[in-house]
Amino acid sequence: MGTDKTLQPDLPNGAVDLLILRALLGGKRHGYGIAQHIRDCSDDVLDLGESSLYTSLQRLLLNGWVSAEWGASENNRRARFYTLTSTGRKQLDRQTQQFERVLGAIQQVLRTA
Amino acid sequence: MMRLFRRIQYLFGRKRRQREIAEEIELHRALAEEEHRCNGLTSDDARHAVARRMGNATFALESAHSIWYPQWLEGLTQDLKHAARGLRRSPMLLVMVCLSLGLSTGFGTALFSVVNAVLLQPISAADPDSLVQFEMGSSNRLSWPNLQDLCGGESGLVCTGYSMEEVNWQRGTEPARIFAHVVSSNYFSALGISLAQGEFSDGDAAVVTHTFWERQLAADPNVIGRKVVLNGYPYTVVGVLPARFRSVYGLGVAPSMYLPAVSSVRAGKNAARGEGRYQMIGVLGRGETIAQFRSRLQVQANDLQKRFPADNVDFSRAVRVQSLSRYGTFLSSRDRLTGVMLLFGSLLMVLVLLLTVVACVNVAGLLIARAMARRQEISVRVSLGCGRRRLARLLLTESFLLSVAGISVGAVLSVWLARMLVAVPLPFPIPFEVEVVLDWRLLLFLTLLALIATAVSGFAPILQAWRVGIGTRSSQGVRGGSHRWSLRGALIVGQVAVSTVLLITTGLFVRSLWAATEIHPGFDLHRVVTIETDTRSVQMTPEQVNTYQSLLLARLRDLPEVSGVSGAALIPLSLDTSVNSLLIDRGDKEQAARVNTNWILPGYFQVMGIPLRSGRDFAPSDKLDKPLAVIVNEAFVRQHFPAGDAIGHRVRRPAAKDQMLPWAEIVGVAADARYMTLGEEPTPQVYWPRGATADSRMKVLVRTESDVATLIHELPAVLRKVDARVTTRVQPLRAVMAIALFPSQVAAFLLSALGIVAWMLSIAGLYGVVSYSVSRRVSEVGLRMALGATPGSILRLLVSDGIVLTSVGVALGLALAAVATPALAAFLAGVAPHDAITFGLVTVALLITAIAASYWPARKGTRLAPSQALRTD
Repeated sequence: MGTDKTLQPDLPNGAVDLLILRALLGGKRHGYGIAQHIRDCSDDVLDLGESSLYTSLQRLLLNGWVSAEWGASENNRRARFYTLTSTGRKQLDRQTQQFERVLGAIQQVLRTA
Repeated sequence: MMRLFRRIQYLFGRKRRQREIAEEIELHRALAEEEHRCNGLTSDDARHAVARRMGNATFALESAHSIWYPQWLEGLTQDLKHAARGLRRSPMLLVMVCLSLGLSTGFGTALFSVVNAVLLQPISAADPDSLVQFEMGSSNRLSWPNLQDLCGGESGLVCTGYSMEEVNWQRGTEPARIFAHVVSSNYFSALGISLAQGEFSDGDAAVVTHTFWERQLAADPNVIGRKVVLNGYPYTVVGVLPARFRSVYGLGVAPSMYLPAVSSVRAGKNAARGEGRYQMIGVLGRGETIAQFRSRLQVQANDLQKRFPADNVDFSRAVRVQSLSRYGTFLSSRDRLTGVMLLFGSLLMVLVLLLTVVACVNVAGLLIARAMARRQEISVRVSLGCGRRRLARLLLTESFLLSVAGISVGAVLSVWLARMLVAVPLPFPIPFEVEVVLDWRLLLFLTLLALIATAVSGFAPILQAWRVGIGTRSSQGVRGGSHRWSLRGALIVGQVAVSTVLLITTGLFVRSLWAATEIHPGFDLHRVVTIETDTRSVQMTPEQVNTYQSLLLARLRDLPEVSGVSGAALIPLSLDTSVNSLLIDRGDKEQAARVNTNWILPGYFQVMGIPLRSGRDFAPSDKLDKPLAVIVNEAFVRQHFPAGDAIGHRVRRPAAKDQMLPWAEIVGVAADARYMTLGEEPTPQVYWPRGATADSRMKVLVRTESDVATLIHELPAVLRKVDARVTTRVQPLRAVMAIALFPSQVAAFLLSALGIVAWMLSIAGLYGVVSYSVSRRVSEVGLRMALGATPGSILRLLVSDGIVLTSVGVALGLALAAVATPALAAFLAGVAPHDAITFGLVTVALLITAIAASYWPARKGTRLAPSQALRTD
């Protein structure tokens, strides 16, 4: 966790949503926990800022893909835990497929062209 | 859908949710800090690291929040709240706007809706556009036997006949007079009208209107089969018409009952083939034109004349077919007054629009004045970073709020007004029912107009501020005086001009309509009393009726207050009309003429106050069955004897060749009098003497030189003494003719009301704008006074400025009015389009208002110490 940061890659909104949904596949987490998980899984490459994280979370709530409830965190602080809903799960599958298709296509273009 | 639902849920707990998100973000930071500290950083360094990393918390919060509650919506609600607060601080503005907009839209909509409901509702029929009116022969009515032959079905024509009568209805113990529509058997089926309850049939059957059933029969659920006593005979109610049924007459005239022409009572009356009783309606076939219908009708007319030449005289020669207006028979005629009434509707629309314009200009003036005063506030906002679009939204929101307030008042007012207008009880027994539905299109249109006006006027002055830039002090617009063109000045001029035009127009109309109600009908309305006697219910024989009538007339003549007694079959300007053909002896040939006809007793002209221009009145020796004498009117002479030598010439009613009626000689010429409506041109009239045979239709006319009311009071007793069994009805002549006076009285009333509202708005608006603009110049006043001007000279200056502006506006308005009013000359009976009184009065009123509006605030300004005045902003 250094102070020297790599330039934060510009993630489109859809990607952030996808990452969060995926992060919640394993169970409920609070906001910080989600960010941490994503950081860990991506070897510190993807470091979500507050605004993009919480904006995305609200969007997911609006669309009904996650649900939220207040609970106690590890050190007994009041935290809001997010869970994936069934529609969210479907959305995750759908968006993952789409993303992989696009990603594959981009990679193909980069290789051949 | 679910998204929307969730959004709404969010909105309800908005504040709480925002706090929650803030809390989350706070926790996020705390956790991040902890992690840094775990990695060895000091608390301070940890905090800084997090802060640097995370960025602006407020931004994050707002960004998250805006998912649910978009920025523009947030801004809008803020604007609305601010606007509401602003309005609460200036209640006068709110009141003025609500009054102006409310009065104009409310009044305008109500008025127009009522007129729409009365004039412009189509009659109830399956296909009103396929209906025609037709006549055959000399009379405008057809007899029952002819009607049956024509409409029986063998002719192939679809037609039906109707007439209107007053009948005596026994309501409990009290007799009441109601109007009944007497119709032939196929009336409802021919016109395609289905009843709400029951079915029409012949015999002693009656169909009642919905209102009658509701009000007079208490909405009896078992009304079918119930008995009503009409003219002494029991009738059975067999049907109820649907609600909102519009009779074939139009204009909201609604007879309470529909009775079959075929019924035991009428059998005697109906038999005569030569006696026309029913006005006819024909139904065009699918795709048939009037010309085609006429030719079919012609075939029938020829046939009828061939079979019954004695009765059906002139049938072949005179077949007339005319389209029945979908708005009713009253509106089909080519009479001048009904034409005026039709145009009245569109005229009203124009006036309502003008009224709205005045109201909008009022509001605009107020708003502009207010906007001027807020220049400083606006420049502060701009300097704080308010973008143009945001500024525009702010101002438009205020205007919108104001308009909505005003229009709401207007909507409420229009509903109330419309109901009130229709509930006014009519002072005469015309069967009149109207259902008023507010014209939403009009309301919408006026709303739009008001919205645009307020938006533009709240907005326009700011454009100036933008151009000048930030840092404009409001004093910029104050100095400079009225000699330089300014928005304010232009507005005053515009307001005055429009007000002038509106006031002059309504003023002219009111004057002319009041004059119209005083149109002399040609006879004396105020001294005559009519007596109707109902001898039918008592079932007298003709000789008995004769005796009764002679006795009655004699008794009446004996009364001291009575100066003349006479009788007539038809009272002019009531619903009865009789138009017939007449043949004039020209020596070598006979000339046909169409004339209004009446049958009268001797003394008619004296009683009615119609002067005899030449010749003599009827004498008791002149009787219809020895028809030697007729009297004609001046119009008849003008048309047929332009040389003026009518007296001595002979005329006679048309008849079949072998049954020619003897000639009658014209013995007198009477002055012109209105016959059918007040607005008509004088038409030829022929008076026949009443026959020796009793006519139960004869109405007695009594003239008194003293008080009519006392006479009316005494008469019932006298009449009872003659024969107590006979029900009588005594009325002043004026009441009987009310149906002709009604339209112009209503129009006068409505336009006066409109005029009054217009006056109020114009005066108030002018006062408001002028006084406000003068009050803006108070600091200028202080400056001048500090420089040595006397209060008097300042007052003169300010007041004269106000007068100059108003005069320019009035001049403009007068010029506009002078150009426009001649176009309305057709409506203005008795008043010149450039009537000096109206023009003068309006000018004077507006100028006085301008003077007062300039004077008072100016005076206040001069009272202040100069230093105070200078500081006033």
